[in-house]
Amino acid sequence: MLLPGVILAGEAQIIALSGAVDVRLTREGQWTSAKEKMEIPEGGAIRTGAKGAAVVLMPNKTKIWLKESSNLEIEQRQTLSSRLMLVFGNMKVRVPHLMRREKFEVRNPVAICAVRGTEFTMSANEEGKMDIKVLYGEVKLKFTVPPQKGAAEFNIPQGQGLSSAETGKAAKPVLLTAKSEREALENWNPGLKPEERQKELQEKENDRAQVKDFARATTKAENSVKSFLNIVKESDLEAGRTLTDVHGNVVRVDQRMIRPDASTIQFMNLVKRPVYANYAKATKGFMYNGGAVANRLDLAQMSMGFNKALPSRIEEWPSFFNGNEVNPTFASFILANRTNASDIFFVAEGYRYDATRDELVDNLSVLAPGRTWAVTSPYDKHTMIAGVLADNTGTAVNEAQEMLNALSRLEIRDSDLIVSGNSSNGLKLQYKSGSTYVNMNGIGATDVKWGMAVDQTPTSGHNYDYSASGDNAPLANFRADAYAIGNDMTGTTANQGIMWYAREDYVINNGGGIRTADSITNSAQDPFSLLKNLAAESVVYVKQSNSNDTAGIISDITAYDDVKNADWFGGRNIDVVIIPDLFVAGIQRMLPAFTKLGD
Amino acid sequence: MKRLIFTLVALLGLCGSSYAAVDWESKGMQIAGEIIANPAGFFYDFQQDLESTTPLPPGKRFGVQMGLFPTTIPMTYTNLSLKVRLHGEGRIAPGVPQLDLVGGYWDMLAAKMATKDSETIDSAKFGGYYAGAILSTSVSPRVRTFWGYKRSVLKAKLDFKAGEEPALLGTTVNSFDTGFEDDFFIAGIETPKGIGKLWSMQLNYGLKTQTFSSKVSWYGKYFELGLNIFPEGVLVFHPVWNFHLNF
Repeated sequence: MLLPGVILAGEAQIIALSGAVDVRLTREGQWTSAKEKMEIPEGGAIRTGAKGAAVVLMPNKTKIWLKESSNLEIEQRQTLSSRLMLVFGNMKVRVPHLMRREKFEVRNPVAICAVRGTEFTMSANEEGKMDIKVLYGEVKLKFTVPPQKGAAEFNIPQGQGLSSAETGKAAKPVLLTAKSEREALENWNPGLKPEERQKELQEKENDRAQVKDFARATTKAENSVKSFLNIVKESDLEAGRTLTDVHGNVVRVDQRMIRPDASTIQFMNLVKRPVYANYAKATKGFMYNGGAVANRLDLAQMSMGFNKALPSRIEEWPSFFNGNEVNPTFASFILANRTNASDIFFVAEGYRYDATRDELVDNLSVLAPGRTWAVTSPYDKHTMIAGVLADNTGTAVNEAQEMLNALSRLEIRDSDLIVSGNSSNGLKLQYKSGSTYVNMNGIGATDVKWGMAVDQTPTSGHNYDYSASGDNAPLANFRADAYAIGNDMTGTTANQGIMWYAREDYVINNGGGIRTADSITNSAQDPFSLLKNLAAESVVYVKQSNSNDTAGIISDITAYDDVKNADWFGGRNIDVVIIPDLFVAGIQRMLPAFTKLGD
Repeated sequence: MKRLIFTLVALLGLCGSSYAAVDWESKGMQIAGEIIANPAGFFYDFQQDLESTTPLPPGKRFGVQMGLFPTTIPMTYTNLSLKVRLHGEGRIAPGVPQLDLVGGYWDMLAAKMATKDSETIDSAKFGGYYAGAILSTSVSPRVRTFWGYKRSVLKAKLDFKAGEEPALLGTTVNSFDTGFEDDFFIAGIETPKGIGKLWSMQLNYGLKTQTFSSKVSWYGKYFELGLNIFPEGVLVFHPVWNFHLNF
């Protein structure tokens, strides 16, 4: 292996030449014809004729290309210092990395340039004209004869050049033009015809043009795919996740937002479980009487209708809802255990638009389309519907699903309330089948009841509401609300009993663990990451009452004691897991719609 | 120049008519919803505005930068970024790229001011930092490509005064400690448009959030004007104005 000092001890060497090339080995020596591998010592020089060209390699690996009619002197050639003098002509210099204290300078009649790790071209004549183009790195230029105006020293970075027309005239760096850059970058090797010098550059430019064409074509294709995807997404938004519920069952949740018709939005949350295991009653919770179930399907469904057709593009919805003449006509919220499509257990809440009050109301008008009740009326109370929808085994029609669809469209009514009157026993619900209304109860084993929320008074009527207390308590809430079946409290069909609409609500993670407030608020995760590991689970029951009398229900304790373990509609519950994935996106995109509803 | 003025006037005219078609109230509500959905993401986009991830110009060893708009004004992000060149292109050996270390810090002044006036908030800390390395190499005398990595962190901490804690689903919340952090790959291209004036375009890819953002910048000796684009952000386009000095 050679030591660096030994390498530097060498001399400049001609490694290629063509045409007339002469060398002079000493300052005062005679010019002789040059040959390849000839060495030029310090003080020596090389010149090219009208059609001559040469390449010189310095011991420190600096490469110098000389074009025709050029004269270059090697003024200094020492271990840590080299200086070249371009007397006249054109040359290109590529200076590689240098040793720490090593200096490399190139001079011409006008200026001296210090370089390091640089590639540049220089042309000069004896009258003081000079042109420098820096290709890579940086050149520190200093005029040997300071100009009358302007600076005498410049740092010229790559991509810039400096031209001086005559000695003493002011000059400053300018950006290289594409043409001058190409001239500097072309192949300077001897023996090449002018048209061959830019052949490689031309090929590179052709390659670049092809890449640009390809990129253009790819962008076009990508835009086509994007627009296609947008159309698909807008027509049917969807999301899904697989997780474990609070009881340890594996759950697959699928969400859809669809438009069943032009003026209705429907949000569906489908919850599928291959196995639904039996579970014990939670402390302060409610009894599940259904046992283990295979291939269980629960759903949460929200529908909302408007008095106008919605724009086909979701992006147009904000301005659409901002119009003053758009009103919701109805809204329905349905929770259902749809494991058996012919025997569906459900709980539904409805809202109908009251034009006089200019709001959605959840009172008796839900059960009596076309009728309204004033805000001062004792019947202006929340209503709910629950029961089992069953097929009529004698027909080929899937009546259970038909009734569920009618409930979601709120195409229902109570036959006692449709024309006049304010009371019903809550058992006379009808649904719209085709153009006529049909009694629900009586179709197969269908058993549907509606109820009105019980007054919350200090002496009669109280709901049950329990949440764990204390710092960092699990986010779980158990609640039961009493509903009087029907609202006929004093008539002949009075006191059909009380339904307890009972829920166990949990905020869980994907592993089924119950989250705490701290785990949400004190997290380094961004909200989207948090939400990806967050879900709400609601286990719903419709329980019987021990007393069927609100008089004794005056506290949380008496309310809980009144909730029977027995269910109203067989041993069943509804267990839905709702993920926020689609909901967040929907809120973001449709917030103006919700503000309108708030109005 | 005349042609430029005509073009600008024509563009302004077009903008005027298009503004009339935009439902600003709806747009405002939509933006509000998106901010509520992901507040840290919204504020983090402004952090990206002050992050300087372009390489130092050839020949420069140090750089300092301060984000002016929309960071200091109006978001009150007091900030400072630094760049240091560890290796100039081709210095150690031919072909070895330039290596710059970049980093910076910011702190939101408004959060501190709001704490003083608040009856419920005991202390609020809202700030962030970033650090990374940028490699740059010349593909031609006037074109440099650069690529690199940065780690970016936004921290938001809110402590409530004793007895004033809000309740979330029945549970008392003593403090909020949240934030945003991600690792980014950066790739860009830079070309001069005049003496000391550079134009660059870069793409940032967040590994955790799996989102792209892009920056287009024009910078001279003292100032950088840019347009940052966050396709999945609340405000998609951020006009940016930064002050910098390179030595």
